[in-house]
This record gives sequence, structure tokens and C-alpha cells, in this order.
Amino acid sequence: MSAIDHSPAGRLSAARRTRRAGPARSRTLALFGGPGAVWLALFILIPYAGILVFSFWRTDFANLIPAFTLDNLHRALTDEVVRNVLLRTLWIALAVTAVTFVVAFPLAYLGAFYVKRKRLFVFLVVAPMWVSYIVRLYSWRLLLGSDGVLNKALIGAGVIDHPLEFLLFSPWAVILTLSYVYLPFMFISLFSVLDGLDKSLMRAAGDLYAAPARRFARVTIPLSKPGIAAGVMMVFPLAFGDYIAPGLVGGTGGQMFANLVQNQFGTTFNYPFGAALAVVLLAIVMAVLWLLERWRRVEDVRVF
Amino acid sequence: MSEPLLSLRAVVKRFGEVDAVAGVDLDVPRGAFLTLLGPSGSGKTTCLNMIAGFERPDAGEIVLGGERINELPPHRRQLNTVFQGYALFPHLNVGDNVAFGLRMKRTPKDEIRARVAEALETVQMAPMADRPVDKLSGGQQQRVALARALVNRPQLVLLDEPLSALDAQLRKSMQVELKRIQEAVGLTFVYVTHDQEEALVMSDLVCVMNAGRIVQLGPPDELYHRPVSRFVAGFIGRNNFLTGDLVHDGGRVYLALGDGVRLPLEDAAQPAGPVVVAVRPERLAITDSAADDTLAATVRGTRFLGDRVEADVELECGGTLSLFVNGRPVEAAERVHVRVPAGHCSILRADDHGRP
Amino acid sequence: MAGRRPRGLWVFAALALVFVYAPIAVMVLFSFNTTEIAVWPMRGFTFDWYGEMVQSEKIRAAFLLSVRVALIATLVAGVLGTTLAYAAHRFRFPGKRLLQRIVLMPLVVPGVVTGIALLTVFDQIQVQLSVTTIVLGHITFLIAVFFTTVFARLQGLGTHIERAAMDLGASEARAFFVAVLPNLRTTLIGAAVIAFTLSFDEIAVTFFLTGTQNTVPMLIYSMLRTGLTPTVNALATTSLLISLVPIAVAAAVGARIAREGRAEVLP
Repeated sequence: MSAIDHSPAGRLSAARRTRRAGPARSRTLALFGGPGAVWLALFILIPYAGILVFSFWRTDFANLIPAFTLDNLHRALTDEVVRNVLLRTLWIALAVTAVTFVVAFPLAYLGAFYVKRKRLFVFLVVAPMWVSYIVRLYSWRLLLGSDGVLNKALIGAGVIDHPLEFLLFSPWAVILTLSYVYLPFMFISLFSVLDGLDKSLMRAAGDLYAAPARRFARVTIPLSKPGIAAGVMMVFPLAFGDYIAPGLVGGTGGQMFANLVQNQFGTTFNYPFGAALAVVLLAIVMAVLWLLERWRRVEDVRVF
Repeated sequence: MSEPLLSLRAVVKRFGEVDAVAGVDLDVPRGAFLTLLGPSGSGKTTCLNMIAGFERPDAGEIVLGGERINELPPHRRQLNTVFQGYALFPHLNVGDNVAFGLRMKRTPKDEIRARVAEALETVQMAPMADRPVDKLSGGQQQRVALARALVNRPQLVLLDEPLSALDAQLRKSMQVELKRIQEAVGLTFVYVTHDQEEALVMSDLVCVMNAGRIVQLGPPDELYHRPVSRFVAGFIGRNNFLTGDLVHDGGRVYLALGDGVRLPLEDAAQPAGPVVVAVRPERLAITDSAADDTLAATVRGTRFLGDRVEADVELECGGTLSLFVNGRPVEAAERVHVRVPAGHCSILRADDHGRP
Repeated sequence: MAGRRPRGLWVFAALALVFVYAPIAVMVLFSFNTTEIAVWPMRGFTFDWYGEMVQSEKIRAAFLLSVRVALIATLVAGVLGTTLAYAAHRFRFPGKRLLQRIVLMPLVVPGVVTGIALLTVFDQIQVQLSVTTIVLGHITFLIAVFFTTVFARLQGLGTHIERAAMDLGASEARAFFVAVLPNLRTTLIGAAVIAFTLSFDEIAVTFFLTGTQNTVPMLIYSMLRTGLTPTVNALATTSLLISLVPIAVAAAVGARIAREGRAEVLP
């Protein structure tokens, strides 16, 4: 039954293989991990590090000059215009996060606890996510324009005489469209957690004399904390860093922080200042993510 | 006996600060069914992984069929493994799972077909060759995993707790089946388990491990009847332990218990000092009258086990014993005498920590 | 959760779904409208704008470019992301946790930052913006898609099947191809669909890496900024129809995963 090669040649080759076996493992690792790692270094590490480096450089009529100046960062943090845009961006992003939460939570709650055909329900809510971002944005322009459906409908109904111009090209339009675009992300985060909740916990709370409202506030909400955190962690950075929607529906009063960054690269060609703005943007996003991560990890789920 | 098929010599494996295997010497004779038995963390699975090639020893050597295989990668070793949880390929059907190893070696198609059929026949799965593996029961998956190893005609088959996922009844019948197959194909099996009953039923040799070392190696009956340490005595089968001092008196040996009670023992070669004496429940008997080799006790309670009745008794000199009542029935609180036959007592050093 | 029927919640859900679908529906309707400007109510029904779209050289070029970029980027990112996920799953090596974080950066960092980061690097090494730079950018964020999905699936599979393959005579590298890869098929199809769609619709990063040729989203964007014609409605509606393909595939794959999942539970 034995099929072993006991000849001297067989032993010798086995011995030679033995010696080669050591590096084989690291060869396999290099084979699989190598190309991807090189790519990450070239197209993620170097560019992101580059942004940080460029933020210290100077510019001279669109020419980048290596230097170590804090002027760009200083300007990014102290400039009046920048600060106003930053504050506006913060409240727009917060408003978008709040709107998506307020719309998504009841939907997710309904889907998790009451809907029979869950897959279909989730599909209905989430399907527009597959529709191109720019197409969804565009569809709102059709609705909100001065000749748009909404204004015509309101005039037709006699509610207003003249088209409401603030419907389009305003911070409100930005909040509306971004909320629309990012709603599915919030919904998915909330639904996956609510759907995974042990329904018997809710029943147990009812059994322990908690009225529905109390039960909701003291059991359901605390238990869905991971979903809330996940949803906010997705929606806030997306909204905060968006520049396409404000560019298309925001008008001059609806420009956001990322538009400032964009302008330095698209119109004024002040790369170092743009890089400094990007560093600030990234720092804020990371700080928010970090805070949310900490909040999510706090084990203290107080029920009473 | 001829040269062993597999030898572990002073094998050490460390994980960080922990010595998972702390110097193991082991010879596995050709054609044997050897079981590595021990609690979790005893190093048995690490030993198996080193034999299979998934871990490399930090010291010592592993010799298979006369060749040192320490650095040989798993796919070049002349052995096959039946994995815990089977590790069948979910994307292949039963026949293709079994044929996998032969295909890797580029065996001719006709030969593959014949050998796969033969292997499935051996494990009584021949009609299932075209089934997807996820449609099989646990026992059937177990058989396929075994066929997948056997079909390659390896020198050695490793089995890593292969029955742990099966229910108790199926496990019992698979134990018999495994032993039958091993004898039929005549291959060497190294089997890892933490289940001592399983080890006793199937093995030619049992190697008891604890804390990374071999504690005792021998045939099942030897381990059962002559454990070398308190650990083995307690781990294999059920046992009673009596703690006391070994004393010599007029050419005879006694175990001195509390209250001046002395129990005669047999092995006169043992030096005096504190010892633990192990004696199996089935060796104890209740008698009506006191004698040299009896201890006075009070019955604490009895349990009806179907084929026998088990009783717990409290010794007057301290300590408790479990035993089987086969004579007249006893009742709780009854005062009895328990006969402790000297020939069935194992004398173990009191200070042993699982080592021989 | 027995008790009162949450009628209020159902009404809310109905309104929310109107909110979700109304804009898209209006856009589709307008693409068939006879008048030049998007005025409500609609005047008549026509396919003219679709005819104009098909005849537009610009739109056809953008469409072909988008498909090309998405195909190449998905393919390359699929290979890089999958192999990287396998390396992270199978081996222990220094810097592994860092690597797992770096891979995800393009998904976490806003597109504007990734876009300008790549742009400045290309600018510094004097690489002209072109199709190539778009593809390079897309690969970079699509790697994350493949990495996360494949890594999750690999963790679910465990390492026992490649161990079994190695035990049965496959070398370490070969074990991946014969034992692991076949079990990633469904995952890879799903990831590829997501990746293709993401690439096809991407605009935030693409904006900074586009040379003279526009992708479909970039074309719509520029049409929106310069002047609207109902052709945009037709193009957007077509783009919507293309998006339905991955939805269908995703639903089919999802159903298959669900079926396979059930099969595992059945005795």
C-alpha cells in the first residue's frame, strides 16, 4: 500500500525540498499581498501624505514651491470666509444627518418589527441607492426649479403667486438633496441593528411593566445605539465632504467646505492652500468618526 | 519490533511565553492505532499540527518513515488528515472531494475513478458519490472525510477529534466503524481526542498528555489498571482516591489513614512517605463484617443506574468513596464495611503534578 | 411585538416612499415631454430626446468611456483586492492591522480629498490627466470594496479548507486556486456588480482626474452647469435603466445566497 520513494534519490530530493520550504511561506505571502500592498503605497499612502506635505508648501502663480510655511494652515483656520463656510458646512451636515435619521428610523422600525415581507420592503427603500448619484441630484433640480413641478403645483393650487426661488440654489436645497441621496445608508445601518434585536427583550420590558413609550425610550433606543452610530458614521462624513450637490443646487449661499477645496484646484490653482483646507476637512471628519466610535463602544447601556 | 513509522524526538513548540508542547518523545509503530489523549490545552492538537506540517517545531525533530520532515510543507508529507469539522470542500460533490488528493498528484483518470470508488466502498458511501456535501448528515460527512484521506494510501492518517460533532449514539457506532476500517486497510492512525472512553475503545496505544508533556503511554488496559500518576488515574475512567502515609511494618506495607486506621497494600518496594492510593469503584465491595482490608463507613446515598446501583459512602477515618452495590441492597445512613482489595490499589506519589 | 397596529408608521412609510420615488418618476416623465423646457404639466409625448441622445457623438463617447473605465477598474481592483484579502486572512505579518485600515481609507475619506490627493501626485510627476488617471483612481477605491467583501467571506469560510487542500497535496498558493477561489464565486460576482456600479456612477474623485474625455456622470454634470436640454432627461433615464441591471443581479445573487443559507440549515 505504501507509495513512498525510499530510494536515495527520493530522500535527497526530499531533503532539498526541506531546505526550500522555509522561504516558501513568505513567497506565498509576497505573491498574494505584494501587488495590493504596492498599490496601496503608491495610490493611497503617498497621495494622502502628499496632501499633508503640500499644505506646508508655497505657491507662486500656480507653481508649487517646496517650503515649510504654516501660512496655509493658519489661513485655513482663521480666514473669515473659510470660517463662515465651515460653520455652514457643519450645520448642513448635521441637518442632513438628523433628517436622514428622522426619516430612516421609523422606516427601519416598521421594517424590523411589523413588515411581513421584509426583503421587499428593504429593497423598496434601498433600491434608489443604485441609481447614479448625479441622476438623483438632477431629478431634484427638476422638482425644485422656478419652473419646476413643486412651484407650478403650489401656484396652481393658489398657495403662492410667484415661484419660490429659495427652493433651488439655497442651503435648504442642499440639505434636502443630500438627505435624499444618503437616506439609504442611514436606513440600512438602522435596519440591520433593529432587525437583529432580540424581540423577546422588548416583550420582557413590557412584561416588566414598561409602557410602550418607556419601552421604546429605555430599551429599543439604547439597544439600537450601534446602528445609530454606524448610520451617523456613514452619513455625516459623506454630507460633510460633498461638493457636487452644493455646486449644483446650493447657489452662492449654499457652498460648502469641500467647494472651497475644489476651487483651489479648479479655479484659483492655489494647491497648497487647497491642501491645507483638505487637511482641516479630513481632521474634522476623523475627529467625528473617532468620537462616534468611542460613543459606540461605551458599554453603559442604562435602562433605568 | 521494527523501526517506528513516526517518531517525535524532544519536540518543543512555544506560542509566545507558553510551551504548548514541552519536549515530547513518541514512537508510533507501523500499523498501530495510537491516540493522543488529554484535556484541552494539553498540547495534543499542537502535536498533530506539527506532524501534519501546519506548525513547525521550535526544537526537536519529527521523523516519518526514516526521514526528518520538520520543514517539509504539508502538501509534501506522506500523510493525510481527517479534520475536526471534516473540512470538506463545499464547492465539490462527494466523489470530487475524495478525488481531490489524487487530482493534485495528477493521477490518471481511470485510476482516480477506480480508487475513489474503492475508497467510498470502504466507508460504505458508494451510492452517494454524486451528492453535494452540504446535503449529507454529520456521520456521512465523517465517512467522506475519511475516504478522502484513505484514497491517497498515505503512510499515516491523522484524525483530529473527528467524532466530536456527532451525537452520542452515532459516535459510539462510528468508533467501532473507525477501528474496523483501520484494521481493514492496515494503515497507521494517530487519533486526537479528549474523550477517554473513545480512546479506550479504539486504540492499540494511548498516549496521555497534560500541560505539553506525555504523562503515560501504553495499551488501554495498562492505563486503566496501572496509572502512573494521579492525573492519569483521575482522567481515565472513574476512580477513588485515598490520601495517607505509606508505612512499612514487619515486611508488609500499609496505608496509614486518619484515626490510626491502617489498610494493607501489596507493593513492598515503595518507599515510605505520603502517597495517594487510587482504587476503581468496581473493585470495592460492601461486606457485613470487618476484616484487615475493610474500612468502616456510613452510606450517604445511592443512585440507581439501570444495570447497577452506585453508592457513596463516608469513611469513618475521613474521606468518601464511590462504589457499586452488587450484593444485598443498602440504605442511606446504614453503617457498612468496605473491602479495599490490595491487589487493585495503585500507589501514586502524593506530590506528583501530572508527571510520571 | 403584538399590540396596536402602527397605522401612523404605515402612513409615514407611504409618504417616505413617495419622497424616495417621486423625483425619479418626474425625471422619467420629462424625458418623454415634447417641450424644450421642463414645465409642468407635460404637453405631449415624444421619443425625440432619446433619438437626439443616441445621435450625440459626445454622449456615445462618454458612455463607452464609462463602460471601459468600469470594466478595467473592476477587473484590476478585483484581482488586487481579492489577493490582498487572502493575504490578510491567511497570514500573520507585521503591519497587518495598519494595512486593513489603509485599504478602507478611500471609502472613509471624502472623495474630494482622495481626488485632490491623486491629482496633486499626478501633477507633481507630470502625468497628463486622461482615461488612465481615471482608471487608476477608480481602482484605488474599488480595492476596498473587494477587500471588505472577500475578507468577510474568507473569515466565514475559515482556514480549514485550504488546510485540507494542502494536506491533500496542494501547495500553499495552489490551495487558494483549487479550494478557496471556487467558494468565493458568489461573493466575487456580488462585489463586481457593486464595484462596476460605483465606478460607473462615480463623480467626486473622477471630477479631479478627468482629462478631455468625460464619463457619463461627468457629462451630465457639465450639461447641468452649462445649460439644460431634455436630452439630459433621456440620458439620466437611460443611466437609471442601466442601474437596474445591477439591482436585478444583486437581487438574484441575494436570493441565491439566501437559498444556499437555507440549505445549510436544513438537515
